[in-house]
Amino acid sequence: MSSSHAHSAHPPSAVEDLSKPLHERYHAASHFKDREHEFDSVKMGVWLFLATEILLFSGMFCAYFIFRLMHPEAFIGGGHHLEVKWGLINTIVLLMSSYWVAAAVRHAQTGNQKWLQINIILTFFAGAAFLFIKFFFEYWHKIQVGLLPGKFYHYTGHADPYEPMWWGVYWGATGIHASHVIVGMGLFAWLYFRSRKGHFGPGHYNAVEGVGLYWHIVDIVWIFLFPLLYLIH
Amino acid sequence: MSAGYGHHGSYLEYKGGHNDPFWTVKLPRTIWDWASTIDHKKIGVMYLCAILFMFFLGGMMAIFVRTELFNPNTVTTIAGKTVVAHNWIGQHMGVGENIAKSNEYYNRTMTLHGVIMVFLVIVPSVPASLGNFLLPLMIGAKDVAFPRLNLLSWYVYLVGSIFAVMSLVSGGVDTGWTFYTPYSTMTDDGYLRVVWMVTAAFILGFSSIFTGLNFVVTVHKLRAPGMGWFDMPLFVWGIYGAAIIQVLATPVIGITLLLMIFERTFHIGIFDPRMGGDPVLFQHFFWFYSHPVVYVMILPGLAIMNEMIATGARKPIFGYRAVAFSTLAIAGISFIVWGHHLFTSEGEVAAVVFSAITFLVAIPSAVKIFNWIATLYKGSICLNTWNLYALAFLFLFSIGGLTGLFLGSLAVDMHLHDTYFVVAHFHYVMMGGTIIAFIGGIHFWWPKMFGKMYSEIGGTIGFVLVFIGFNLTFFPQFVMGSQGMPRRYANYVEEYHLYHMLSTMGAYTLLAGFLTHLVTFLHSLAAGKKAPPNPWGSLTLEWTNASSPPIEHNFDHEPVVVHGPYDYDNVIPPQTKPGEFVLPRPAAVAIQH
Amino acid sequence: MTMTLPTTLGQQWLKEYFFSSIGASSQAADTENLFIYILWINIISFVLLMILLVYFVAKFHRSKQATNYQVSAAHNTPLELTWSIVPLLVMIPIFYWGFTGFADKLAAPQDSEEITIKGKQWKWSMFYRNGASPQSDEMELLHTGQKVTHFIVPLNRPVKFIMSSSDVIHAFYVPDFRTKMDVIPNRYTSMWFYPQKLTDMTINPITGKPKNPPHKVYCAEYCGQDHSEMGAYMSVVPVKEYEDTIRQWTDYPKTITLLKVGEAVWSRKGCNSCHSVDGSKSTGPTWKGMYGAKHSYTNGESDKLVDENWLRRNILYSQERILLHEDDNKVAYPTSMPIFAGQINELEMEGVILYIKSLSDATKAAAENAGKITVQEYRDKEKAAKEGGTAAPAAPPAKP
Repeated sequence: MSSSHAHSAHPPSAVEDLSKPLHERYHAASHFKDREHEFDSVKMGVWLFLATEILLFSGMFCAYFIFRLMHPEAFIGGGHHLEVKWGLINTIVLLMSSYWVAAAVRHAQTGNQKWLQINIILTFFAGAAFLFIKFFFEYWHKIQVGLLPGKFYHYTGHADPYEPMWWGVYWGATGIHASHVIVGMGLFAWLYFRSRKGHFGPGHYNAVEGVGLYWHIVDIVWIFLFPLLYLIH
Repeated sequence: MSAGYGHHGSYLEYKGGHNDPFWTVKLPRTIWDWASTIDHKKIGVMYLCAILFMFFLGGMMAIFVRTELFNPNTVTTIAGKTVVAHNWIGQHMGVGENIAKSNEYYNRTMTLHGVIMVFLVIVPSVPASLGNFLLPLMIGAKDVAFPRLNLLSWYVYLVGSIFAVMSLVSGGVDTGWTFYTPYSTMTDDGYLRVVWMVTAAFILGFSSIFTGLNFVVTVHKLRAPGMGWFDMPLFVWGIYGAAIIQVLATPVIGITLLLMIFERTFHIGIFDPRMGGDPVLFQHFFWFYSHPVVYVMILPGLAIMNEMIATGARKPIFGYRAVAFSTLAIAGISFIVWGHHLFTSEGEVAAVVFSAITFLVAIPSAVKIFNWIATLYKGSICLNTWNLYALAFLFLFSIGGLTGLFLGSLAVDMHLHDTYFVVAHFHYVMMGGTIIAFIGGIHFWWPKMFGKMYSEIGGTIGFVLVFIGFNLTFFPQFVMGSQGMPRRYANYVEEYHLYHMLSTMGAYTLLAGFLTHLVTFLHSLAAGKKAPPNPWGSLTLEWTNASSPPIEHNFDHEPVVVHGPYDYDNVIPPQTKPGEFVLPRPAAVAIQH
Repeated sequence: MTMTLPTTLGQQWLKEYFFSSIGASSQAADTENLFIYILWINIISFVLLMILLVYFVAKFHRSKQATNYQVSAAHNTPLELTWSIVPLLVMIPIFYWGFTGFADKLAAPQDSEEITIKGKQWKWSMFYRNGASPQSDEMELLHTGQKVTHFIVPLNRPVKFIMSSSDVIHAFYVPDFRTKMDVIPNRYTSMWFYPQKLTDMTINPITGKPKNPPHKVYCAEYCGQDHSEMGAYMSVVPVKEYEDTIRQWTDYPKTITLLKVGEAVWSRKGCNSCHSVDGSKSTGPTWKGMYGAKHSYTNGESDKLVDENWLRRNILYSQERILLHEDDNKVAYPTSMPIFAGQINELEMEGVILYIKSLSDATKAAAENAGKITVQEYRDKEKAAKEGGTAAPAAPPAKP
């Protein structure tokens, strides 16, 4: 107890109005001036973190472009194995989820607890739907026919000798993206349980805002991955 | 609330009752308090201990390397019998006279030295330990912006270290710290060591990102009232510049190492030429991170220098703004010079551009040196251990920087690339720069961190040994490098023998110097005099407003900044003995400019 | 070069000290001059800085605080601009000469003598234009019992090395010529120089050492266990001696059999880096059981029998047929084989075909029998055939 509260310089007032919801009783950590100061700092931290995420993926994109230049036939041949249908559906799913998460932030700002929770749940299930489509309709099929990365590759119908490398890039890029979606779903589950306890409202919605920004980045990365992997032949 | 709340004693003080039994209450509670702390000072101290331990480990690897190279393996005939002489590593690793095996153990030792020193010591050294401890104190904040993230970054560092140690105990890796493909994806096939080591570097990258992110937000948002950007101590500027690079460059090494792990475990082929991949691409990716990271290593060293020089000469840093902007310039330019590590890779024309930018990045570093020497002018220079280190830094870093001119020049680099000249150059910069500043900085802030004075005699003896040992170790390496001795060699031709012997003797002198410091510090902890709040008469907030050691919330009252960090011309440092620190007399003739 | 490097003070002495030998080509001399030029800039700036440092510390030591501690300017813009711009100006010539020297080291003249160099853990192999390889591995670089390749280059002729690696990245480094270049798998890099000093093993009476010993060659890119042993010696010999020697090197001892020649070709020409002879997997197909097998290729041929003509044609022009995998019709080995036309002579071709034949069970006995003749007997037969006007013993390459 002592260590975690050691920084609380604003001692809780002797008589706290327990009838107020939690988000109104929220105190910023003691090294901040007030809630707004904390909110600004958190937001800046999240943006910096997102910058690192973008740089992480840009390394992946960079590899994609370099190998595409080196082995264009392999990338065209590999891309033909992907079904645009599922890529498109997943794009729509993610775009809708982006809308829902934006709405969640909006409802947190206005204190609409019911719709806040509904939107968080919707986003969570959009993420789940994305993963379901990815794993069940796409990955599963590729695992069965042997379109796997590197040494697990045992598909026999490829035309270009370097097609296995395309699958290395495909699995690498979509795998890292999918792992971000999984992390995002975990965060939405966490948000949901906190929102049920009334943690978020007009005065305090740092976490909703931060996770929302993260989810937008996950979405944007997919917006780039979709044409690069599925559409450009 | 619990006893911790509103505690006004030293942050190091035990917060339970005085009569708590040691084994059952006091010890476990102290451990728990430290392990769960979100106090930036405690986290800084824990980092300091871990980093110094790793420094010792990496240093011992260097000693092993130097011992082996004192006399190279030689097959000679003694009394008609062919024997292997001077096989130091081979004998101690139990492979006897097997030269190939002994070479392999040499390579593993040399790699561990590099990996430990780069990823576990120099990258986190100053920011994570001194930076963590001092940054909030210097800008008058109670803590960093995200204390829990700070603690997380410490544990991430520990996890990363554990992976590295796992790799070490399972045989170590022999890839060189640069993990160049395709060697790194082929060696030790069937073992997980390389994957563990690369995973360690990957995980340590996250620790680095978290710390950097935390510092950037802290500097932006948590400065005390009255402290504008140009009222910040230059230490903060340096740490800020390094933090920006950490945040922006580390993700790229993250994806690179991840791809390398994929390559090793799945053979996806992107760095494997036999599968159509490109091994040189790895080098581009690797140095796109690792060159900026050279500045993550050096900027905090330069940052420490500002504080030591200003306090040691009791002068404002000459050209404060130039020093601050040169920090940003270095941070910016550092991202576009990576190609100078690849001058001999393929002989590309792009090398010309990289060579030009490399010369450009030398300017801001040179400017800093000039500014510091100008700061000494008309000062009141003390020769405490830490200021000796500051002056030694100017000596060593000048050599390190100037020898960079040879390597930036394309034609000369064709000759010197991957020789001992490069080894000597980057040790003069990294060790002669960062580590020397780091050791100086530990002496400088020691009274603040632990509330005890250290012995100046012990410190000075240690310094002399380190300074002599350092030059003896690395100067001969310049000569043998220009004569053509390639780096990472377990063995060498006779011409270089003299230089290698000198170098090894220097390494042992260095070891003696560092051990002297260790004894001095331990002596200080056990029996040092109690430190006054501001023993050196400094003007930055951690000395003027906080006690030694600081209280748990850093300051009794939120400090309000009323003078610049180096306003020695107008302010007598508070919290010092009256009369001990005087104001400079105005110059007889006013300076025109 | 439009701007020539100034000759600086103590040039000769500093070169002796920092390079231990005077460079063996004009490019090397340029690099040395540039090195010494930078060195002087270094020494002058460093000494100036240190004089200031020591003077300030002595003059403004705290013990003299009462008299010398004074207020001084906190910044001085003209001064600061000066010390930013002056270093920049000093660096411009360094950059320029570095760049011209670099360009000079990269662009080989058209008429260069081309030598192919293969790096393989942990040995360098060289191949001359007539397919010859150095045959004297007698010299030790280190005192570890490991012998290194000793090869030759012609005097006063531009020499270009065309290099590639068959495993990891290496770097070919000739300190005496002040140049190096990485050697990368699946890619060709090159370097060149113009040797101007003859190797001279006669002993200098003053130093007691050879006057101009063979140049040492190192591997400068870390490549694993015996990285430090991956060296070579390079001698510069007169053109006449060079031509004679490489002609000699294509020859084999007169007493060995053709089969032995084939085996020697397998290791000398670097076949062994991709083709095993015991059936184990490697970068290329194994030779064991290759003769007499049937394969399909990317050029549309299917179930084509591997016979003598096939072997001959494919060794010379390996790009014509790319082997497809039996099961799935994809390219079996992505790495392509170098073209050996012009790199291999008739004797070697005969030998290696016999050697491959001897690795298939069905043709083993016949090949061993046919491979019994010695190089001497083969030469005699060749001579007789020429004199007698009959057709050469080996058929010309079959048309595809």
